[in-house]
This record gives sequence, structure tokens and C-alpha cells, in this order.
Amino acid sequence: MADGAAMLPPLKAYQDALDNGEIIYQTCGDCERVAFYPRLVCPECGSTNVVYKPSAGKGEVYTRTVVHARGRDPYNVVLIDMDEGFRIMSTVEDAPNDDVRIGMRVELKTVYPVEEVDAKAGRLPKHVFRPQGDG
Amino acid sequence: MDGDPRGKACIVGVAESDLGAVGAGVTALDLQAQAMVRALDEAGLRKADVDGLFSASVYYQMASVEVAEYLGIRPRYTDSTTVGGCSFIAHLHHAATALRAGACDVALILYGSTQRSGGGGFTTNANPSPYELPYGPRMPISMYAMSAARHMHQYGTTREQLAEVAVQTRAWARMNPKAFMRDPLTVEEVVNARAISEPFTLLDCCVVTDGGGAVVVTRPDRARDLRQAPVHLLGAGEAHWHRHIHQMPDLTVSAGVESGRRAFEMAGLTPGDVDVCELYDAFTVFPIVHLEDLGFCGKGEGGPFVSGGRIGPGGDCPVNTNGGGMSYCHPGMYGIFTIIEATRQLRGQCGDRQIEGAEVAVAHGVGGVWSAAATAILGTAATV
Ligand SMILES: [Zn+2]
Repeated sequence: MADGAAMLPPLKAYQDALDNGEIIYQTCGDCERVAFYPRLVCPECGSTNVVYKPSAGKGEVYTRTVVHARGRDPYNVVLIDMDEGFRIMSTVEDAPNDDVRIGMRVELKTVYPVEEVDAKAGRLPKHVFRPQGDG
Repeated sequence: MDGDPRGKACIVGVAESDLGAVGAGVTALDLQAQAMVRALDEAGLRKADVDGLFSASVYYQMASVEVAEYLGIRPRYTDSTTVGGCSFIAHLHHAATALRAGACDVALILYGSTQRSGGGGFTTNANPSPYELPYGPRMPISMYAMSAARHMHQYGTTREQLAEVAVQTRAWARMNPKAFMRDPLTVEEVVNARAISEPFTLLDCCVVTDGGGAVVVTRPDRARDLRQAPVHLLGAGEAHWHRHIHQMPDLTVSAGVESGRRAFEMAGLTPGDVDVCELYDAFTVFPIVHLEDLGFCGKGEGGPFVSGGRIGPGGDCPVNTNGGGMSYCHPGMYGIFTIIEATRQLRGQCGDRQIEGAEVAVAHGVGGVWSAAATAILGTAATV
């Protein structure tokens, strides 16, 4: 990692980027492995020469489920394979749950501000996706 | 490999605690005590003989230490390894290795949970990922639902094939007096039950029960003089690849591929040599993926493989003869019950559900969200 950058805690870097409406990931300066979530070491080669990069926010639904919970409308949870080569969990809005299918192209819609702070997981800003528009 | 515990450790006692709904006020430690007493008694051993202790729990972080205090055991070898529900199969591997090394002489593996009666709902020791928690997946149902959805997409596995697992497992449970759910079950009932996390309905999910178990392990020379016909550990393996589901490269392939390969290599056997399978099942997709990962069928062939009654009573690949986590008992960490049933099958003690002439059994499980895996191959004296 570049001078000083190593001291930026990866989870905080991720959360700060989300606060600015951006999803970040990392590439390894030594082995070029793409990594998400951000870490202090490359999970492939162990190098600390890891570089933060902003994602263009586009990808494809890898898998999905629709959760039926008492007291609220059913909602979808998806894993998205981002075009840069990493996978994230998110939710697809602006489409009926039944239309959120594996293989569907999606793009980052927005980031909702922190609603909750989990005792173990910390601050939880939340990105959401929508079906990818034309162009 | 030099140092492998193959043929160096025997299961000489197994027992469940009371199962099902044990009632308010009973603790997870009480259930472990019950199971220990029963397992040592059937083995013909005393508590004072135990010098190796193994336990995992979602209630007690220092699991073996906590239960040792309650039971009055001061082990010289202790292990609270927690890799999810398959921990106890990993413990069996560790116990065999410790026995082979002379680090202990009588190993006791313990588990107890009052998940049903204890109040407070489903208990888990999961650390939620900050990269997943905001999206509201139900842990762990939604993770396995996404695995099943991917399996259906990738290989054409059908909703009905998933349901087949629940139906055939229930058919086994109907022959086990200890099973929690013993009513007949149909594919239609599973498919049409209330949706929980698509594609899973309520009946794709395991039962939620109380329960505990104990397994006593020692070396073959010691086992010879005990009450039960010894069941030998022929092979064991472990692996873990990820913790959280978004880190799993292919949601249809678990680390069981690796734990299974290691176990079969140590045993010098192949899936074709196995007479009965006890496979960790919390959701219907489990046995399908396990059978693929262990090599009983090709990757993606699990759906058709389990269909037509193949894994049920009378089928040529019997799976979860006790009724499994789906219908018999699932207190949150099911792994120890795979060892208990496999052992009883190899002793010929399973009554109506006994697999005639069973010589080799596999006990296999995963923990977390397809995160960790552990496999044990067990056999009768003739197989060593
Ligand atoms: Zn690297």
C-alpha cells in the first residue's frame, strides 16, 4: 500500500466511500488479484501492496432470494457479480421481486445513509441497485 | 500418510440426551450430562476414565471448559474448536489424532442445546458481516436459499427434487421412535408450504428442537474389552474456504469437496464402498450438494440422483436413516448426531431402519454458510 494509506482502516474506507455514494474494492499491486471486501493484505499472495479503486457500479445478479418475514412486505436479497470482478450482497429496487432474476443486469441506484449501528458489525450504510437502464 | 489416525481410534459409546422439547429450566449443560452418562454407561467406562474433552456450543464460548466444570472433569487434552454445526465431526478427527499421539486415552465429545425450550428464539454465534447485514438476509436460511437458487439455475435442479429430500428423510423418521416429526409428508405439501426465503418453504427447513449428544472414543486395544462392538475411524478430513456467503466462489460447491477427498484418501475407500450416509441437513439442498461434493454423483447431478426414492428406505443410497435434521432432531448444531447414527448402523442397532450388513458409513457435515466442512469415514472391525 502507498505511504500512509496502510493506516486507513479498510472497513472505514469502505464506509466513507459509501457515504460519498461509491462502492470501493481493491486490486493487488503485486499479483493483480481483485478483492472485496477491502483488507490490509491481499487474500491471494499476502502482499500489503493493495490499492483501493472505485467501482463503476454495474454488474449482474449471481443469485437471489426473496425473504418472507412477518410484519413486512417480502423483499429480495441478491449477490451481484460486479463488472470489475468482485461479488457483493445487495438489494434490487424499482422492480417486482419476481422480476429480479439470476443473470439480470443491475446498476447502483443510491446509498442510504446509516440507519443502524450494529453492536458487532458497526456502522451500516446500505447501497441498493436497480435494473440497468439503456446505455 | 504417516501419523494418520486410520484404524487407531474407535467409537465405543454414543448417546443422545433427551430430545425434542425438554421443557423450561433445563440447560444445555444438563443435556450434555445426560448424554455423557448414557454414552459412558453403554461403553462400560466411568467418568474418571475420561482424559480428553471436546465440545462446541453457541451458548458457551469456552465450551469444553464450561462443561468440564459442570461434570467435574479435569482433562489433560481439551478442545473447544468451533467451526459451526460440523464441529463434532472435526472433534472426532482431532480426538483420533490426539489418541494416536498418546495425548489422551479416552476422549469424550459433547454437545447440548435447548434451542426450542430455552426461550429467546434461535441462538447463533454468528458474527454478522458488515457487508451483508444491511440487506436483511435471514441467517442462515437466506444464504442456503441463494445456494439452492443458484443450483437450480446452473444445473436445472427442480423445486420438486429439493422437496424429495424432505419427503424421503421423513420416511426414515417414521421408523425412528425418537424422531420429532413422524407424520407422512408429500412433495406437494413441501412445495406448497408457506414461503420462508425463496425457493425454500417452511418444509425445506429443519426442525427446531432441543437435544444433546455424546461420543466416546478410545484406542482399539482399550476398545477390545468394552461393551460395544468398536466402530473404527477409517478416514477423516476437514476444510474451510470462506466465512460469509458473498465470499464463496461457487455457491454450489462447498469445502466438503476437500474434506471428503481427504477422508476417503485416508480410508483408502471410494463412495462406492459406503453402505450408509449420515449427512448434515438443515435445508433440503444440503444432501444434494453433499452427495455431489463427496463424489456419490457428479456436480450438478444431485437433483436427479436423490429422486425416485434413492436416498430413502429401500433406496440404493440410504441417507439420514435417523430422519436427519429435517425430521428427527436439530438443536442448531447437528453434527454429533451424524456420528451417533452412523455408529449405530455399523453396530446393527437400528431396528426397522437398519441397513442390512452395513460395514462402512460416512458422517459428513458443514458449518456456517457452506463455510467449514468435516468428514469421517467409519467402519466395522472387518473394514480396518
Ligand atoms: Zn496479491
